[in-house]
Amino acid sequence: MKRPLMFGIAAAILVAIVAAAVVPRLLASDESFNGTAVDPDGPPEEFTLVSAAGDVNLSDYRGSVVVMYFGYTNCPDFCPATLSKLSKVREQLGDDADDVQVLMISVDPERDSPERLAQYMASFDESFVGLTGSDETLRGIAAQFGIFFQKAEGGDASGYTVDHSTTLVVLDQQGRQRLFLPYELTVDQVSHDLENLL
Amino acid sequence: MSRIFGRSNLRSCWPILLVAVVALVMLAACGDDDGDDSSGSDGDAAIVVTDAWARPAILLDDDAEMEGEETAEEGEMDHDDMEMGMGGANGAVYMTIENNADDDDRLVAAETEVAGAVELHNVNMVEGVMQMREVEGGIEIPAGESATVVLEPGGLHVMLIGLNQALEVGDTFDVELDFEQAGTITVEVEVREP
Repeated sequence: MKRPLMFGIAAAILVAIVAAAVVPRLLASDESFNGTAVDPDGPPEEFTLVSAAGDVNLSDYRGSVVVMYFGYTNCPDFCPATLSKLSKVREQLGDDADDVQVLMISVDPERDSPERLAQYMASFDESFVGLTGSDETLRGIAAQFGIFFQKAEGGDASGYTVDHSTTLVVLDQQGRQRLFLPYELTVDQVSHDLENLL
Repeated sequence: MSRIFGRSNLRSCWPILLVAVVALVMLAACGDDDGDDSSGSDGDAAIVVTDAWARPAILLDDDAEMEGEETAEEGEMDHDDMEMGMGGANGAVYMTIENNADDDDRLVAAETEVAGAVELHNVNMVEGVMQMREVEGGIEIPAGESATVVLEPGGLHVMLIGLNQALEVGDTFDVELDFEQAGTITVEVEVREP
């Protein structure tokens, strides 16, 4: 009876040691994403858009995790909800937030001037950048990420509204697209995913 | 009561009685005021609106000079020019509406001093695409306690078009809601983060 008991205790201790060493590492290297991971062949096509501070190239943000949202300033519901969520994500990331750049690419170039976008974005987070360009350029950029937008008839006062995809497009620090984040994800879930890319 | 206001004390008590009567009349009057206001707590009102709130929003000024680059050339564009939603940002008001009347009602319009125009909108998500539409003919408010209508993010909302003031957390403002049956009801809206 004594030997098997000793053996059992030794085995239990061994298991405990291995677990203690491996489990935290497993948790830390949790590579699973809440969003949809993608692995395109190459980096997205370079583009140049206009911000209130001047021309902006996508490649200017190499070195940062880029979170792109396609929206517009007259949007009262989904856009503010998404941008205030991303502002909370940056808060949650702490110092890591310095390496996260949120961009909103306008789906309403007719009404969204660079200045208007800048004021709108700054109201959520000083670091957020709003970009616009010609309708054709914006459509090309949206299309390469599978983002849809289209004008829709509004009321007398709203004039028109814009139907648009609410999915966030995430590029890693090397400029490759890594994720789509659906609208429903929480602040914690988005933070987790971005943390994994940093 | 009879002991306190016994015959022998009646003479000395009449001032107190007078005060009590006046107080009662005033209380009744206050009660009536609350009823007319119907901003939520009155359970007898046909339409009861509770938890009216709005997202914070800033004023967007299209003529703003960014980093001193431009000078204001178009002086004609003032804050009254809210055409096509320009000039101010838009906002959204959410609330819970209960209809205690016997008949169905309908929220057909709304008005507020803080925005150039107001529309009733609904948002649908269709395969990840957000579609916002004006609600044709207004928002139906069915009768009955279980038929509460909730205006909330990602769904129905009262859309404020062309805000003429910023909405900051903690601010309150009034919105007049026009119901087909219940008439106009004024509710106080609180600005807060969702």
